[in-house]
Amino acid sequence: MTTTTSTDDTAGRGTLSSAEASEHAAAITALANTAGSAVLGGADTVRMAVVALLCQGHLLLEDVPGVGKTRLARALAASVGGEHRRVQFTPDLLPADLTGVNVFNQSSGHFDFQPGPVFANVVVADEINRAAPKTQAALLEVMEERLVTVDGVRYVAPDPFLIVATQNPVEFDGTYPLPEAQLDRFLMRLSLGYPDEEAEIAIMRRTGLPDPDTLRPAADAAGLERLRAAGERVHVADAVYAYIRAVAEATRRHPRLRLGLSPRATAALAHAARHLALALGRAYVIPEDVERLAAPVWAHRLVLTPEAQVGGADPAELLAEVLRQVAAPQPDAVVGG
Amino acid sequence: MDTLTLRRSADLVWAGDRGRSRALLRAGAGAAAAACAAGAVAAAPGYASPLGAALALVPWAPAAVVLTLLLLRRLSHSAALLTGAAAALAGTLLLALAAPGTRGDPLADVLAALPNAGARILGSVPPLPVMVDTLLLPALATWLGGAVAAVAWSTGRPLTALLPGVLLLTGGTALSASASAALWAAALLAASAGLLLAVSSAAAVPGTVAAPGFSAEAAPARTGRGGGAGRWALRAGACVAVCAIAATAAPAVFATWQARPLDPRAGLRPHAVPEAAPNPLGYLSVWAAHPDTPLLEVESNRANVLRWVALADFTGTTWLPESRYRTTGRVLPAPDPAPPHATRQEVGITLTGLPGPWLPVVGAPRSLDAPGAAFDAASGTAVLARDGAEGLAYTVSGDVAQWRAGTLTGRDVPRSAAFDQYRRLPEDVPEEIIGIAAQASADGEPYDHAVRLARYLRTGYTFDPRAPSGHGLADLRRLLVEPGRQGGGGTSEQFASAFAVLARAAGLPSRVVVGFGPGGRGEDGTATVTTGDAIAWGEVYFSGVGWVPFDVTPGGREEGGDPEEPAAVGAQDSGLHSVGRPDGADWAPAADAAARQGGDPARVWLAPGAAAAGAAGAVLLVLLLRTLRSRRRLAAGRPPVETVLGAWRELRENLRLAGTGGVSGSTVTTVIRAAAGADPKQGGMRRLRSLHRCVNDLAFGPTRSVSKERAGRAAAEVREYVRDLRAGQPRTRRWSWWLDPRPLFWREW
Repeated sequence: MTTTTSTDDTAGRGTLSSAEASEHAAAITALANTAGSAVLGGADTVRMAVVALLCQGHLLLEDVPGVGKTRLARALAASVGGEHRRVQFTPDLLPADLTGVNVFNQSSGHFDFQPGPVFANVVVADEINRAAPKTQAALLEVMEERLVTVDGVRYVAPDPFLIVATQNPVEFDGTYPLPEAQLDRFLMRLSLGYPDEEAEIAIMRRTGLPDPDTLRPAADAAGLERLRAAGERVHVADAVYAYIRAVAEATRRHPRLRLGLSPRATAALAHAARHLALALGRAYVIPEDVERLAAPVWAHRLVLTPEAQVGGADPAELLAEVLRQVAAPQPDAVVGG
Repeated sequence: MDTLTLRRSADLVWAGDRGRSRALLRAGAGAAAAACAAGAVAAAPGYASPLGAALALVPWAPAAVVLTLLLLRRLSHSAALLTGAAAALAGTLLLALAAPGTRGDPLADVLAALPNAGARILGSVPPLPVMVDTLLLPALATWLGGAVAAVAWSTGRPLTALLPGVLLLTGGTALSASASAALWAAALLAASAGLLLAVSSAAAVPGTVAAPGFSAEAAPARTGRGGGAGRWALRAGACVAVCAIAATAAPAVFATWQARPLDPRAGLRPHAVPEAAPNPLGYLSVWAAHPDTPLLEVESNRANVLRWVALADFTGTTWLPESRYRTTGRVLPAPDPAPPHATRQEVGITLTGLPGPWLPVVGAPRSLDAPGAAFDAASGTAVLARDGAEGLAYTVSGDVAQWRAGTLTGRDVPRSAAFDQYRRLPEDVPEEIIGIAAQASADGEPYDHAVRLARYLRTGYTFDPRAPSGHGLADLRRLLVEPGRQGGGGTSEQFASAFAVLARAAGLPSRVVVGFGPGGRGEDGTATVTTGDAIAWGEVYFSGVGWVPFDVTPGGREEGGDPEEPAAVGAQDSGLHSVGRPDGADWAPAADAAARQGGDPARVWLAPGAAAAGAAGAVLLVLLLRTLRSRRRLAAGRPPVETVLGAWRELRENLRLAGTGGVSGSTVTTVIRAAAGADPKQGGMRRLRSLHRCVNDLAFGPTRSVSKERAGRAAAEVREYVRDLRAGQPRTRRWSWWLDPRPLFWREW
């Protein structure tokens, strides 16, 4: 690797030392452990959710009812010492129900802003596909802008701010599936899955999990900010960037995909990969991080061709196929020593 | 571009527009074409005109490669091959124009040759005539090989691209049966293979695609991996050294190598040419009684004995000719072994009254200018495979042996089963005949036995031109036994038959040959051969010499004008059988010692010994290279970067050798996981933890460095792991672990 072509993206801020990385990884692990202690489901899923939180991205949980989606959201909120709200999306839900309204205060004679449920650190948007597109759009505006405008006045969403939207993959009657452009705004799509036998029996005994509200926060807003800053300093080698680009390029040419990955998708993956690497105690990103994040970050952004849809293809499987086809950067070639 | 390889990208082959990759692509295509042309080079000596055949066959290889590569830009593989096949068929018309067949119309020639191309080759006597019938099959095979090689090369499979060349070389060698040409062709193929592999390992294998903007990184990586100019100089030096050793040692080794390529024609039983008479021996008695009827006119500058028919199959009542005739071109195959001290003689012959389909030839015939002739290489007999022998004029040249003293002393006769047909006798051979043979072969060498038999016949009996025809066992018994030991009379018909039967009874491979003496020469140099010049003689086969004629007919040339005595011309001139004369003063075995040196047993073992030594050397070389490389990779004291990379390569190589290790292009973790899965000790991924971390640090970390201690730990992990991995293999795999040469050629794992 010639240093001239290597654009050191962490120049100026300085690269993270391996000791620092271990230190931050311990903090992130504590965060994930705290949230995970109240949640059914794998540590991997919780870690990914924490990574999304650090990335200031949003989560789309696609799962059957009753596996603990709301619990995960509450646990995440509690572990960073924040507030959480839950909105059940229905066809008659209006945008104002989300964002809040100005209410006339008779005692003061003024209109007071009554903030809606989006003004929380973690917002659970349950069954987001049941609401009318207009309401979905209002939520997506908050996700993107982190701002709410009511009657011409802007209100800033709190920090940290994480929206955990859920979709039920089983029922589609009377739903408004999210358009591709809006799916693209979710950083990750995760699935909790059913708990294993032991965990499920523990729940039945009511001995398994503590209440999320009783959790002690593992980080405050400043600590979270520190972790985010550290994540930005994680090194990404040019070969890894090229690898991400090559995989995205392959999806754009894939004959069974109508829509490949957008530049926003590749940037999101690189961003998430930094934080994942940090969460794993590494000061740099390796190709495995890319492979591990490909399904959560990318699968929901791919659009199949009609033929592939009819053929029952699964975007996650196609993505796995593309990953098998595109060679990962080989140490010999990258080092060339 | 090693970094990013799209493994599915046959359709991206031509996307690269950089000049360098185009040059490499051309070099590779040229090498593939040269590899396929090797078959044509090997086949060319099998034709009467090797140069003409080479000119007609070699261009098919580059044409096929170039055309197929052009077609592949637009078409799929199968479509390109099919379209190319149409072009190849058009090319056969050009071939028919350049080397016409017998029909005079190129299209008719091609249409007639297409379904019969293989049969024409197998049914012709080598060397093959240069005509579309015999060229079509190798030409189309070369085309097909070139097209397949082009497709393989374009999809980044250089070894597959070489396969057609190897197959064509094998076929061409079988066709020409010429070991020396095969050596040159093999050298051409080897050079092409080297070029092809060099080009493909120059990282421009079609089918790999660089990530845009990433090539600046890959290029120094490649040269850096090779170790810079010093490594290249070392490689070049090694190549030159190997070539020099090969160039000096190969001729000496191969000169002693008697191996002959397998001739597919040997397995084919040719159709017999219809014969007017089963054998011409019966003519001899009649002709002896009426010696003045002209049979043929002979034009030559020397008096030569002509051979007519060789008879090898004795039924008890008659001798039958060998009849494995094949149609032939003008040039005839060289005899094996070559006649000793031979000179080339050329005669023009006009048949004026000769019966039967056989054509008289001189010596061991090498060329025969008689359209429609067929030839039996085993007996050296030519026949006319059509009617109209009467009045036929043709020229024939042949190698006439010069029999010198000592040529035959010490020679043995072949004992192999291939010669059993020349020793076969009916079961009812009279006791007396066997007794005579047993006396003659009581002691001494085979040559002595033959000489004693010939002397016995020549001195013990008399020539009787009035003797009745007949040469079966009953006639021989009457001649040899009944009249008593002396005084019986007969013609050369009986004496030649008697000699051959006695020789067979004595265990010598023998046969009867009918031919003609030189005849009376006129003033214009033309000799008229009459019925009185016809003569039969016996021949015995000696190893390393071939068929040796023995004059067995009694009667003196002193008697003057004896029509049956061709030896009157003198042995040195006629080339006939005076070597068998036991009484010639020039027969003193003066050169015995020299003759005995021919079968030096030490030389027989030289070629197999050299081959065995070469094989052992190759095995040792592989062992040495493998172990040295492995040791160097894991050695302490090298820069930590090299240690880690060496350990990494060593791990991947050994995993691939063990049949695991994931597909190429796997990530580091995948490989380590596969290693843990293959670990006989089930140590898990922790066994290779240092290596895992070091490799990632080096490749993707911000500092791209590791400490010496960590590198050493990684190397130690790999050393220990590889030892356990090998120990866990099946026994055969374990033993061949360090002898497997494949890792030396692996570029990726």
